[in-house]
Amino acid sequence: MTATSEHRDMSADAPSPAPAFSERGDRLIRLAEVVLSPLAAVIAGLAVGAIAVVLSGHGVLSTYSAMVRGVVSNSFLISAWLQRATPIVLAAVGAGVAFRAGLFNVGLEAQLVAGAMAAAVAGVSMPVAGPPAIVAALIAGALAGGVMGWVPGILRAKLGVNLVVSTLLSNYVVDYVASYLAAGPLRDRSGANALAQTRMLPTSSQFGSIVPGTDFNFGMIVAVAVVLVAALMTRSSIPGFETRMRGLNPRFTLVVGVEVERQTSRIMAVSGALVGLGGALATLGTYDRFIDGALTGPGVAWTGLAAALMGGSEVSAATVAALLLAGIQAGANFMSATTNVSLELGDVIQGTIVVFVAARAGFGLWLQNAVTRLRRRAGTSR
Amino acid sequence: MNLLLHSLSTLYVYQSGLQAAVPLLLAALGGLLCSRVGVFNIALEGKMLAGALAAVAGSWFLGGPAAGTLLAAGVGGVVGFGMGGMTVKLSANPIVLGLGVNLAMSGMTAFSLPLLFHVTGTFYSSRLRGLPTWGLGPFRHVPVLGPVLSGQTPLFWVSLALVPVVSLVLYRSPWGLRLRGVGENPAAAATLGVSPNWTQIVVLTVAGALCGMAGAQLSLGIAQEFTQDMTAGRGFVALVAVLFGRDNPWAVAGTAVGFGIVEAVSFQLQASNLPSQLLEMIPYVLAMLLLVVIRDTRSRVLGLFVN
Repeated sequence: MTATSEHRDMSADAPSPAPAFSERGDRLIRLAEVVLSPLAAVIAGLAVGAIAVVLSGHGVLSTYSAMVRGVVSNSFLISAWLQRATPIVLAAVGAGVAFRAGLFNVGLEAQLVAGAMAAAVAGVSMPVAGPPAIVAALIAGALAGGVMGWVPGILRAKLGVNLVVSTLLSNYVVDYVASYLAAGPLRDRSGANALAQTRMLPTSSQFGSIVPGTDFNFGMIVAVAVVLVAALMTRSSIPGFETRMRGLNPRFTLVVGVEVERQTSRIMAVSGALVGLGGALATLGTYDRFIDGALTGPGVAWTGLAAALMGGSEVSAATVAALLLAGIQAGANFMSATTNVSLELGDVIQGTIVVFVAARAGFGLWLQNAVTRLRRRAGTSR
Repeated sequence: MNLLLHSLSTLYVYQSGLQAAVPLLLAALGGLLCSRVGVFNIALEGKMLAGALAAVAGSWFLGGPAAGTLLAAGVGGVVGFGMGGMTVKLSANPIVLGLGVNLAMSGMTAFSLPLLFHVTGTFYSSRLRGLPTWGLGPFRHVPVLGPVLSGQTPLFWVSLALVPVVSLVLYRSPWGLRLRGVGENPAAAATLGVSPNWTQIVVLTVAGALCGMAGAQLSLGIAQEFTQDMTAGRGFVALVAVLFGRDNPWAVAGTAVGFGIVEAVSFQLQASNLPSQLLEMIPYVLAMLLLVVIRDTRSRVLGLFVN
């Protein structure tokens, strides 16, 4: 069986998370795999969520309908959903870029928190408020996230440090440093409250609402632009092509003359910068400062990771998945306020989805076999 | 600095260090077995968390810490079995699956807590019966070893005994030979009549049970409560111990004990006015440093790390 023969490599380091779809087989099957296997995972996630709801003694339909209502009932709720989705989308796209190259960047939380913190610091320390401060904050966020990605990347390339474990551990290190900074040296001591948070950005340096009565903000437009550029770059640029090539066949990439070591650190830096930018957008558009635990509590980075895994490292698919998962989280938030079902239902659904996404290779194989069998049967009957 | 020297000079820190090492050691032994059959298991964390809640639930509803520990091992084993089934039968990517299990267990434990105990975040009760500690009778007066080894939970002694057991099974038993064979070369093992698939499923189940017990030590031995996400990355630290110990049970155990002592020291230093966040960070920084020391030469292609 093929799975076992691959395991040898896996113990050495992370496999390509995007072996996803074999290039053989026709486009229709590939399309079916891209759409159907995440869909099957979502259905499985909702089914397990439904079991959890029943076990907690509530009605499945009323709970799920409360979740849907909590996302789409009115323009404010839609804007709140998209506001929540903004950093998740960027985290998903950032992770997707690394996944395309077969680099398992699971340090999204480190990169997101570093980006959010750097943006908050840059935003308040710029001498002029307004657009220059916003630009500085965005650049600072991307830089900080980029460094957090670049470090594990260079350690991998030069020293062979296990990327999965080093990025996983970097989450804890950065979380602790950020919460130390927010509680200590960078703490906002102006107000009476005792929260661990940095000083608030001046109003002109925030992404305020652009539609009165809603949370639609300029950061969402920035996010859309970044996603479009990322989609374009991954599809039709030389680095994008080399990234994809490396994900499909690293040895070949090495042999045709790509400097793979430099490529590793660069891709990890770009991946981290995108995630860090997501953190900056959350600071500027949602929290107006860095608040300890605001991003880690709801697991923003992990939702982004789940979306990237669902999207099979395709930027467009990862974006759709990020919007969907952000919707589940936003819906769970609303639902827990209106019903007695706890908020964590969203995490149950999301975790189950990822578990089933892991089986996508098996699902794709099953699908191919099923189609082949059907075709054969159709052929013999003719 | 003085405080650091002072805490290192007391026997208490080694006693609590061993206590803190038990979850790491149990999880690391599980991770080691998985690594030996060629599965890089990053779900130790999630299984430990599930075990921690199961242990508290078992002790509360089923009459005591023994039942709690068994339930924890059972729940961990079931999760491990499920992972094994998905890895083998659905050719699931182990890394993605592991991330999924971690996320799912974090969500499921948080969701179950209010259902079981009508609280959110943390369950604590003075009526919750934790693991007993053994005083060692007359042996507690043995210099150095006495005070360090007395007051440990039964799970400490179990984990201690498991190190030679795992070592003997791996290197001196036919099962161990087959198990290592599956990890070295599954196709060759299969031609000799050893089923790589079943070996992996069994090993993942056993590893799950070990992680469950690790969770029991955490929630019934060290803390006597369950807190949401209380494992706090210990599963990943255990993974570093597996990598640093190069899949050798004794080396892995030594690394785990080292991490336990570092955790205890950093906890003790919180008595100083050093910021607690930076002290809590120490074990993870140490884990990263160890990770840099480990050179993953096996995955090189033409001398370069391409993946």
